[in-house]
Amino acid sequence: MHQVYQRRLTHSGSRFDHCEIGILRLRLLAGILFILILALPGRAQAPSAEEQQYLFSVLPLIERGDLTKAEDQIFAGLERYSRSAILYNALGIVYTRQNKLDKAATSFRRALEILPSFTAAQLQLAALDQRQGNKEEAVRLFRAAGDTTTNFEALVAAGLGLADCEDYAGAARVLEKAHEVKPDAESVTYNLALAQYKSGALTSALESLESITADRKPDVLYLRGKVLEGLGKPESISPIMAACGIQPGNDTFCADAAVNAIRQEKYLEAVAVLEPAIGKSSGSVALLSLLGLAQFRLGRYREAITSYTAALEKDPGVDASREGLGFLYYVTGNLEKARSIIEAGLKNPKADHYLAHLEAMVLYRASPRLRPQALDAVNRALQANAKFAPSYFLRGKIRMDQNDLSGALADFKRAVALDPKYPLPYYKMAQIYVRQGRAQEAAAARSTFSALGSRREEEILARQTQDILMPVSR
Amino acid sequence: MPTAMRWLPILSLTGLVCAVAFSDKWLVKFTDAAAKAGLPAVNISGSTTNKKYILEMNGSGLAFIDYNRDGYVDVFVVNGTRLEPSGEATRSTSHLYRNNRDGTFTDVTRDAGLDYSGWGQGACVGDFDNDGYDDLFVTYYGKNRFYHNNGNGTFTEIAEHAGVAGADGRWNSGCAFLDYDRDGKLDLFVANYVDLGLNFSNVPKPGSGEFCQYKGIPIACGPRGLPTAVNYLYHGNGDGTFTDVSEPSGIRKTEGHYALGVLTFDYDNDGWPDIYVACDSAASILYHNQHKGTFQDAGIASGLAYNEDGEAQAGMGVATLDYDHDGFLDVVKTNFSDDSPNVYHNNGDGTFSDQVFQAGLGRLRNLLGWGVIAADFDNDGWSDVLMVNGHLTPEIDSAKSDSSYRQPKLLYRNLRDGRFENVTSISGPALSTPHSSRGAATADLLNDGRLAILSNELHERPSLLIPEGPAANHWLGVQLIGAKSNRDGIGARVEIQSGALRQIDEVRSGGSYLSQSDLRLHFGLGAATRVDRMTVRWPSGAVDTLSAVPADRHIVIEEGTRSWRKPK
Repeated sequence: MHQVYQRRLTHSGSRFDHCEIGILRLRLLAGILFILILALPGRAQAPSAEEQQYLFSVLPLIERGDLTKAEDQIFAGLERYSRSAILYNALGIVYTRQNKLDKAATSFRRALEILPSFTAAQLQLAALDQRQGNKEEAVRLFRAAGDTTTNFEALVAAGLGLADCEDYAGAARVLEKAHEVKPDAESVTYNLALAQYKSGALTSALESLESITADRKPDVLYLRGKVLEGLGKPESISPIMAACGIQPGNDTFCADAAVNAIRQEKYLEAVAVLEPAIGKSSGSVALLSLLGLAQFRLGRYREAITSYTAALEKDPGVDASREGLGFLYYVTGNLEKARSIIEAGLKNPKADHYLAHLEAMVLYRASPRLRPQALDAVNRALQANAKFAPSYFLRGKIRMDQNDLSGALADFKRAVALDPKYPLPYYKMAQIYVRQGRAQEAAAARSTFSALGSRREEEILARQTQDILMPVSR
Repeated sequence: MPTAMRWLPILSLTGLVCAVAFSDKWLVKFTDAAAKAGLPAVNISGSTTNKKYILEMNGSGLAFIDYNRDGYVDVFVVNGTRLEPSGEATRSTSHLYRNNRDGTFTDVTRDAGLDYSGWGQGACVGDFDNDGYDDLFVTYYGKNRFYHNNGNGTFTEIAEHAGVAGADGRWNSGCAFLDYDRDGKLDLFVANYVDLGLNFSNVPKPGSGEFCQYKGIPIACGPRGLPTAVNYLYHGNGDGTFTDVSEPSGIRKTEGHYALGVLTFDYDNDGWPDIYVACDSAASILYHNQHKGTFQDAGIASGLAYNEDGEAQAGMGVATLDYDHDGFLDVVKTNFSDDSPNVYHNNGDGTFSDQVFQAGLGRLRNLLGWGVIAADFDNDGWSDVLMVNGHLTPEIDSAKSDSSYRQPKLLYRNLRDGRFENVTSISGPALSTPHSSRGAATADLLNDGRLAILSNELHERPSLLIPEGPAANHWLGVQLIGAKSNRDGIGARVEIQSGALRQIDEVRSGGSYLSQSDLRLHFGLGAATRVDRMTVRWPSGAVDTLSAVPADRHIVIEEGTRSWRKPK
C-alpha cells in the first residue's frame, strides 16, 4: 500500500530530516522503469512488430538475471535492427543491472538519439543521472518525460523521480497528471499530497488527502497532521496522535505527536503518547527527552529526572538531554547535582552555548561567592552565542550584584534590544535607575515592565528550554 | 529611606560567639494534640471533592486571642461554609476554644456569641477601644464580622456600627490592626482578594479557559482571569467607629492585585508601621508609611513586589524576622507550587534581596505554601521558619505530579549564618503528616516557653502541634500594655540584648496566612539566663529601657514605667 512508496528517514537518535517524510526509492523506480520498457510517447513512431517480438524474447533473460546471455542476444538483435531504440534501451537496462553505468548511459543516450522522446529511455537515463548525482540533468529528463507521456506508470515514475530530486513542485505537477488518469489510485493521491506538502502547497495537499480514507492508515494520518500543522491548525494533533497510536513503535510519528502536544501545552496527552512508544521501541534519546520535558511541565520532577537520565545514559554526547537534566536539577534546587551534570558536558569543547548559560545560572544561584565563576560561564555562553538575550540578562544581574551598574545596564539594554518582549530586564533597569536617582527613566522602565507582563523567570526558562530541547530532540 | 541608625555589621562576630554555644542537635519534636486537646471541629470549605469555585479552595485562617484575659491564650478557628445546602443537621461556624490551662480546650463558640455561619476567611486581634480586652475581627466573603469583647466572656458583633463591615459580594482576606498614624487608636487594614461579586453565574466553569486548569486538569478558575479587588484602610476614630480612608491614604492607588496575607512591620526602621501584602499571581504590595496618614506603594522599588528577577509569584502568607540579626526585619513569603518561597533579606537601605536559595529554602518546589510563622522554636535566640502547605483541591492528585493535595509542613532551623536547615523530618511525625493546610499561627499556650503551632486544615479538624518535653534553652515572653500608645502595644518595637545576642521584634496583629499569632512577643535566649538590656520603642514615640530582666517567664511592660512585672 502507501508504505511501499515511502521511506521514512531512520531516526538516528539525534535529528530527523526536516520533514520526516520521504518519497519512493530508486530500486522501486527501476522496477517501474522495467515495466515501462516499451513506453513511448503517443506521437512517436512505433517499433516494428519484429523488433518488439525480438525484445520480448530478451526480456525473460533480463528478468531471470541471465544478463550476459541477454546482452549477447541484444547485440545480435542490434545487428538486425541497428536503429532500434527499444533494444538500446534494453541494453542500457542490462548494463545498469550489471552496474556498468557508463555503458548503460551510453546505451540510453543512443536510444534517445534514435528516438528523442522515448519516455522509457528518458526515465532510465534520468534515474541513472540522479543515481550518479547529476540531479539537474535528471530533473530535465524526468520533467520531459512527465510533460510528454500520458502513460500512468510513466507519470508515476517521473513524478516520483522528480520528488527524489527534491523538485517537489515538478513532482506535484506530474503526479497530478497521474492522478487525473487514475483518480482512485490512493498511492498516487498520497504521493501527490506529499509532494504538494513538500512544495508548500498545503491547501492543495489537504484537498488531495480529502479523497483518501485515512482510517487505520498511519502514513495518511501522519501526513494529514503535518499538513494541518503547517496550516497552523491546532487540530493537527489528533491525526498525528492517531498515527502514533496505530504504530507506537514509530519514533517519528510518536515524537511528532508529543511535540505537537507539548506545543499546545497538552502535557498529559504527550505523556500518554510517549510512554507506550518508549515501551514499544527501545526508547530513543528523542522520545525520552520529550517525555522528560512533558513530565517536567506536569510537575513530575522525579519522573522527569529519570527520563532525562535515561536519555543521557543512552547518548552522553547529546547536549539536549544534559541541558534538560541540568535544568531540572536547577529548578528543583539540587544545585550541586545540576552543576556536576552541566560541567561534565562542558568538557566537550563543542558544547552548546545553553550549557554554559545553565552553568552560569547554577553558579549564580548557588552562592554569592561564586559570582566570578558565574560571570566567566556567562561570558563563555555569550562567546558561543552572542544573540541569546537571557545570557545578557544574567550577566547584567551578576554585574549588578558586583555593583557594576553601568555594565549591568548595558547588558539589560542589549537583552531587550535582542528580545523587545523580554520583561525582566526592564525590572532590573528600573532598580538601577532608582539607585542612580534617575526617577523618570525608572518610571518608564517600570511602565514597560508592567506592560510586558511579569511572567515568572522559570516559566520563561522552561519555555526557552522547551524551545531549545524540542528541535534537538527531533 | 531609613532615618534610624543601622546596627553595625556584627554578624560574623556574633556567629563566632554563638558558635561556641551552638549545639548541632535539634531537639524540638512536635505532637499533634488537637484531638486530645478538644479541637474537634472540622473545617468546611465548600465541596470536599468537586470544587467549582476558587472560593472553596483558599480555606481559612485562625487566631490566638486571650479573650478572657486569664493570661492563657485561647484559640479561634475560622471556618467557611458550603455553596449549596448540605442537608446536614448542623451548620458550619467558626469556633472559639477556651484554654483550660491544662493542655485542653472547651468550645465556647455559642456562649461567646460567635456562632455565625458564613464564608469565614481570616482573623486578626486588637484591643481597638483600649478597654483591656482584645477584640476580634473576622474577614468574610461577604460582610466582615467585628466582635467587640464585652469583658465577660462574650462578644458583640459591631461591624456595621463600626463602619468596617464592607459590602456583600466583597472577598475580604487578610487583616491587621495597626496604628498607622500613631495616635494611640488602632486602625484596621483589610485586604481583598477577588472581586467575585454576588452572582457566581459569571464565573467560568472549571476547565473552561486558560486559568481554569492545572497541569491539564480542570479546576476552579482564578484568580487570574477574574476581576481584581481593592484593599481597605479604616482609621480608628476612638469612639468605637472607623472611617474608610482607603482613598485619601493612598491605599486605593494600587490596583490590579489579588491580595491575601497581610504583614505590618517597620521595614525601614523609621518608627512608622508599613504594610506588606502578599498577592496572588500579581505584584505584592509594600505600603510605605509616609508619616502623614498616607502610604505609597514601594513594592517594586524595594524589591518586595516580585522575586529577585521581577517575576510575579502567587503569594499567600507572609512573616517577618530578623534572621541575620542585622537590626532590620526581613520577610518570608509563601508561594504556589512549582515555585520557591521568598526569603527577602532587608538590605537596610529601603531595598530587599531575595535570598531564598542562599538561605536554603528554595529546594522544595512541589509544595504550595500558605501559612508561615517566624518564631524561635528551640529558643536559641535565632528565629526559625515554619511553613504549612497543601494544594488547592483533591483533584490535583489525579495529575500524578510530585505535588499532592495533602502536603507536609516544613520547619527550617536558623543556622545563624544566613542559612536555614530543613529539620522537618527530625521534628516529630506530626509535621510530616500531610494535610491541606491553610492558616497557621503560634503561641505559648501553657506559658512555659514552648511555642505551639495551630494549623487550619482544609476539610479536617485543625492540627495543634505541641512541642514534647520542656523548653529547650532559656526564653522570655513579653506582653506590652500601652498607655499613650494603643493598649496592646501593636507596632511597638522591642530590642533585647543578652550577651552577644541582639534581637528585635514587633507586636503585630495579623500575619501569616489570614491568621493571628500570640500578641505577646517571644524571645529565645539560648544559654543566657537573663536579658541584659531591653528597649521598647512605643508607637507613641516613647522609649522604655529595662535591664537585667530574668529569663524563663512571661513579663508585662506598661508604657512609661520602665519596669516589668509578672502578668496578673
